[in-house]
Amino acid sequence: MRKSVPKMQRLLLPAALSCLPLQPLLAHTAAAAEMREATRAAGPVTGRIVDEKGQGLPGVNVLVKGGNVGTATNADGRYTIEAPAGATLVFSYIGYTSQEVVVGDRSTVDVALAPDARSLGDVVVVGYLTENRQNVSSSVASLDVKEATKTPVPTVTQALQGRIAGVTVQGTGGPGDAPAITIRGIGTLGNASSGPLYVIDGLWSDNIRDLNPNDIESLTVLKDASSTAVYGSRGANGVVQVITKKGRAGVPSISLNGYIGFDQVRKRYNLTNASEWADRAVIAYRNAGLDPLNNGQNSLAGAVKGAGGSFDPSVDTDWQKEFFQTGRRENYNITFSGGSTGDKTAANYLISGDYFHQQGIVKGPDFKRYSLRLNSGLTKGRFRFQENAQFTHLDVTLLNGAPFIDVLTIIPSIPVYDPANEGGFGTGSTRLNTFATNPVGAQQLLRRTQADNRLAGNITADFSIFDFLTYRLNAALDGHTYSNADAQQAGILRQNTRINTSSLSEFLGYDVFLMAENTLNFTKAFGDNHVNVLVGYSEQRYRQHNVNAQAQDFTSQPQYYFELSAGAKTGVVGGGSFENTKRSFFTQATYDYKNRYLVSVSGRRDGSSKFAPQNRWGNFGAASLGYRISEEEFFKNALPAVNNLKLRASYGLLGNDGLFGSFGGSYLPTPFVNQNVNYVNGAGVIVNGSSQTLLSSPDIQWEERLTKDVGLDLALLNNRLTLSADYYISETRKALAPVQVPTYLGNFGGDVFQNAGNLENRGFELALGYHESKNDFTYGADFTLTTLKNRITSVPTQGQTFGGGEGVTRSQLGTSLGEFYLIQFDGIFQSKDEVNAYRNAAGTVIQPYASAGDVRYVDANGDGRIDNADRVFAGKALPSLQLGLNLNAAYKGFDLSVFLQSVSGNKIYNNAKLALQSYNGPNNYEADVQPWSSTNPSTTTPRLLQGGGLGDLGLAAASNAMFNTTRWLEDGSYLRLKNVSLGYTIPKGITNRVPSLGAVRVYVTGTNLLTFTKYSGYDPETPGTGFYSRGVDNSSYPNVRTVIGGVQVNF
Amino acid sequence: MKSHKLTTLLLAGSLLVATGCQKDLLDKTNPNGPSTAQFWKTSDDAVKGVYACYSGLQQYAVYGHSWQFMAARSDESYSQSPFVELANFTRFITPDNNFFISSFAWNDYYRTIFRTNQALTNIPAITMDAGLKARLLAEARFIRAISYFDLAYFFGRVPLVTTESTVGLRAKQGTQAEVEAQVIADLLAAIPDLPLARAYSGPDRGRASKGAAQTLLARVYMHQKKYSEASALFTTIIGSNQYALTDSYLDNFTEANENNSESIFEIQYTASVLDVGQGQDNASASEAYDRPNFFGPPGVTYADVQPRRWLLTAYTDSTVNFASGSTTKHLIDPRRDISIISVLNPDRFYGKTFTEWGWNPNQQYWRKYLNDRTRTTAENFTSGINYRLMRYADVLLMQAEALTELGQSAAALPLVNLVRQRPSVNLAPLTGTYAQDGLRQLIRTERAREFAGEGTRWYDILRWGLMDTQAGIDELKARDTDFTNFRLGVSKLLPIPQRDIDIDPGVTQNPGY
Repeated sequence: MRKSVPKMQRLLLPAALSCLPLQPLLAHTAAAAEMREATRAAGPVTGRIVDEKGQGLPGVNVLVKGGNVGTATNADGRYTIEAPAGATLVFSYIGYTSQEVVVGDRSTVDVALAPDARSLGDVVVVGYLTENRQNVSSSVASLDVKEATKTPVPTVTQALQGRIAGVTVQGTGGPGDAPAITIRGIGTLGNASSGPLYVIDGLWSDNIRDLNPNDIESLTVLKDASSTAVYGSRGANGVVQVITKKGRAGVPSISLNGYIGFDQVRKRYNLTNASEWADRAVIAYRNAGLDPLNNGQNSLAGAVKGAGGSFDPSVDTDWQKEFFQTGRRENYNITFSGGSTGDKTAANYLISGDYFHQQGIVKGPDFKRYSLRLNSGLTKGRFRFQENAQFTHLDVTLLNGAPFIDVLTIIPSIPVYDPANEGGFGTGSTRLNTFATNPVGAQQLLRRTQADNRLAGNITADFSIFDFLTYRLNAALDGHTYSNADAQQAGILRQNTRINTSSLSEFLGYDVFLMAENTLNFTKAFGDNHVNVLVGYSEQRYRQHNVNAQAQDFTSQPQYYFELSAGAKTGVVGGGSFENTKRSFFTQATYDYKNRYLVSVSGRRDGSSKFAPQNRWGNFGAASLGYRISEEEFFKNALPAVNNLKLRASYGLLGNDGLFGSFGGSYLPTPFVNQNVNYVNGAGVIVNGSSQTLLSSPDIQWEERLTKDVGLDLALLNNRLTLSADYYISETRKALAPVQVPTYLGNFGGDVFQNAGNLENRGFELALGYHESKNDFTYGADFTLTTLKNRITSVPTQGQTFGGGEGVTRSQLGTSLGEFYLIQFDGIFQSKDEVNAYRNAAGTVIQPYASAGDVRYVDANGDGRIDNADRVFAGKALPSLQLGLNLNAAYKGFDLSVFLQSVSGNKIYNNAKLALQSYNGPNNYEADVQPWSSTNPSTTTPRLLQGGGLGDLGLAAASNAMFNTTRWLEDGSYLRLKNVSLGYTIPKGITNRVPSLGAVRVYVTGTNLLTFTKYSGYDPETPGTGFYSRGVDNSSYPNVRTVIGGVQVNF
Repeated sequence: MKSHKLTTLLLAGSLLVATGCQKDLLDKTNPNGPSTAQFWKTSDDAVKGVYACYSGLQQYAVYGHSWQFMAARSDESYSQSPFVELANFTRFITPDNNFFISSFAWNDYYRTIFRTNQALTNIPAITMDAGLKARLLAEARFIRAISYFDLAYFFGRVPLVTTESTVGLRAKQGTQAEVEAQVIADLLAAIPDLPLARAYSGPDRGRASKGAAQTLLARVYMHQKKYSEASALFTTIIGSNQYALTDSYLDNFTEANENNSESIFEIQYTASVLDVGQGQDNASASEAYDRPNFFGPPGVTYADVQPRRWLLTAYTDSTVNFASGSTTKHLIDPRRDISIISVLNPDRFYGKTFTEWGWNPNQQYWRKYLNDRTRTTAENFTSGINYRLMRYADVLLMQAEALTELGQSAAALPLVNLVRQRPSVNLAPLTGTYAQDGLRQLIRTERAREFAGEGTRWYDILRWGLMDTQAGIDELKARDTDFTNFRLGVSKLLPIPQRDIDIDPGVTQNPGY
């Protein structure tokens, strides 16, 4: 038996390195084969492999243990294999626990494979090494791809939400939206570099939107330092490893997937109709002492119903009805794959074509993705090649402006279309004064399109030098071209705006990322000691180039011809390029003794062209320890019900060079002279001026993130109940951030990157699962819990704050990122007496301009007036607790899953509410919100008071409309029925009647079906508006309610 | 063995191909332009560095736009913009200390100062013609002085940055007097090295001249009530024989006749081909003037700022006068219809009359700097008209003002008459003798008519102290109800942008904000 181990490794090492899930066969289970003596002569063995429902599993790998012979099951799950006497067969299939069966004297071996018991017993790729999951001592979580993709998603990140503890996903419902994901909190003070690194089959990427989710075989999230340190400067914010599907040896398979779904906005506001609006608007003017009939260009004659007025009852626009539509999404996918295994050679191929289309819930935005994947591999002797590539073409139309606020504020007395206006859309006017933009016209007069092509993939070449030593070259490419165009038709969309010129702007360019990695992997067992060591060297290069041009004055008759040469005036041309590079040395090693005592170490030395030479190199590293106490005899004897108990701890230092800004952050340390700071000379000729306009960052160096993690993995009741828990503290030091410098330095072109301070995230993560299978009935539950505490622990200069945040948040020493900093709303004055009685300690009337019905604020500093000095910290933008619960059950052909998700502890600043309830400019009103009046003494909503009144009336209106107050802040907690999915697999008896037809599953799923929240905006699940303003809802595109019906067919 | 050879080959080959072994892999230089270390080497670099300083004045939030709105808070203008916060800004209601008009202006003045500080730091080390070097340095000082002048009077106590900015630099906030002293120091240093206006020719016309620096310095003295120092400078300027009033008043507000004999300093603009707006620092950026897009009648402009009605009547002159070349008497100052569009104005604007446009006869709109005589389409960001920051009429009237304050009324009167009697205006001369206060009021009225809509008014009412007393505010309120919300001791200055106070705890807010 001792000989069989290296032999096996010869076969399996390349496979292991190319991430095929065969590694459990290595060494540690070899003992099982010894148990029986051969009693049968060599010859064919046949059998059928079925799943937990008794249905044939196609494509299961069948291997003779210790030999070179392998095959795969056919569509019905049947196989035939030539097996020598005394053979042990190994059956493995992704998502199922591998089984080894001693053939003995049988010629038929039928096996039922069980779904893998929640990530136990399989292998997982951690960094550059494939490890047995049981022996992983880092904090690593895998997505149950099969379960998560029961509800189809446009982008795989959407499937992560609530399913992996420690991962936060924030996105919109906009077509083509790529949600922002953060792992274990926001680890940086900057804003573009807080996302994780995605490693797709060995290609490093920060774009996962374009990856076809149907192609994903497995997805693993690496969370702690010990699992990500090998990625050095890119590992700080976690790593998401994606492995795409590969063809398998056996009968070629074809699968077809298709679905169609419909999207709708979750809620609509109850707004006033034209008549109700007119009544309120006139009151607002009169309260402010303004004459609605004669107020210059701000007249409201169109709201006055009596003498002199021109209220027109025939116009009553329901803007929400005009603006929203039923969105549509569809996806069609065909995959065919296959492979062969021979004596010394093996080949695999997989081709997948996919079309995804999503049309918005608003007329305009649209997203189409066409993708084609080709994965193929060839093993010959000691060589193994694999390539994975996806070509993607995108066709996108973007949303314009802030229509989700405009649709609420624009008044119902304005018609959607108005031929009297150039462009043809209704707007406010001098008889219907409003500053709202026509939200329907905004999507039609301007058309912003993007056409992208992306080729992303890699090729690996492995050479097994010895059985225990493999060299690999991994060369990867991510090439992207884009062609964006903004075609603007002439017209107006808002009162008092001049008619814009028709114009076409085009932006073209490409970016390309190239990387090459050379690694050498040593793996060997010395008795009970298992050693796996990898060393590597890599180079990376990123280049971007772009050009832009604009022309204006396009003829509109009989239609617009939007090509640059058709514009009567041409002029704008621009462009630029930049390049940055990285060179790295890295190592990763694991060691275990008896699969019981586990050690891993990793390190990386990165040099980046983005830093000045003296700050260029950074060293990063981590280590972890694990103890599988359940493998100890004493433990087994004492607690036999415990199938697995592993204690883990890790510690490590990671880096981040996530710089951006001017020239992609490539040249920040060097002050740069802008050669087009132009002026006009006395002859009227434009002359070049030159000046530094952006301050440089000469001293920036690597950001570091230090993470400590302790955790345990537990399995009970025959692995039916699993638990994984982690607690971590991670401190980001010298966080690289674009820091606001005093404006008086004259900087222009973006905030200046500095090592801006320290930041700490700490949290507890829990993943709990229970899975049970009884005859035809299987069911299970998975629960995740994530807590997060984020705090700035040091700042570069005393008192430094990080503003931004739309003027409503502030981040400073001791606060979390983007904490709300606002003047406190304190109800409504019910009488002038109350106003006069509202004084500070010195007896000063605090809001002398106010009257009954006006807003009262807290004079926090007691100086007798309300101003910016009265702002206080008023709540966090980051949720403190996130929960996810997935329930699933299957009975015979039916499968059902229900997924609930919740966040709590965060606040949201609601800009839509500000727009609707400020009352200082004529906007539409909420019919169900009654303003204060003498007959309706509201304590939450002030009186109707148009801005622009004289004296105190003007001051009171401005005070009521103050934006930086807690009046617009709301509880952002929610519980959402994220998905319900019901599927039915048509019984074999029926599908078998059609030749070659395999499994056929039909399903319906609903997304965002129910939401429980106090938040009054369109959607509590808002991504916010920027790094320091994640809790500020500028009425981004809301997440939508979707119902999908689909079919999955295998041949 | 065979396979091991292959291994070696593969290893060597792949390493070469894949990793290139490029020694300087990590040394990347910016392909888009020079670093500051590579720049500032030649005389040409110095010239370009100073053009960048001039370009600073042209910016959106300096004279292009924000300055115009800040100045429009005076009693001659008001805003009825439906953009309530903007209109409130001109009504002295500014709940947001970061409101874009003033905070962008703050930003753009300091952008300009950063450029001048770069020029003043780097040009001295360049080997070049000494005369040109001295002049360029003086020009940079002049532009820095303009920037601090406006900052001093709009914001009061502002940080004094006089060295090249770096990311870690923090500047001390000066008092208003210290900022004025900085302006004076820069101007005194610049004046000797600046040429007389007429020494510039061709493309150099319009550059900072001795007279421009002297005028600005005299303005500071006027604000400081140092009338004799100011008057002495005015005397020098007038005596330099560099300047004369243009015959046509209109010549000061059109694209034709820019940098004319009356011009002391102009912000240069040119009509750009494309309507791209709000000049940025790139090759295709507009070098055009933003203001006409905002100050004018609705439909063709944003109509954000309008003249107050009292101004229309102020042009009714009690002195009988004659139109040029005519014997027909008329009672209306011809400057009215050049300055203001109203139902009283018989001209055609953008090809149509007031009535044809359907404008509200109760409203009146600014006309200065509009392209209404040359265009029939709406204004946009392509206006090429230069903004006249200082013109000779101002020197004459300020000298008259200084002399009046110094009790030399008799000497003041002829200067006022020069302005009244330019051929296209041709009002009857003021004769007789006036008491000091009577003449003071006459000059003030004359200034209101002469400089209507040019933004000068804000500095005038500031200098006259009208915003320092309740009596003054009452006077302003009678003309402009917006002054109802003016807070004595507060509203004269704008709030310092909250942003800088939050970032640099060393900067403190103006009182009352």
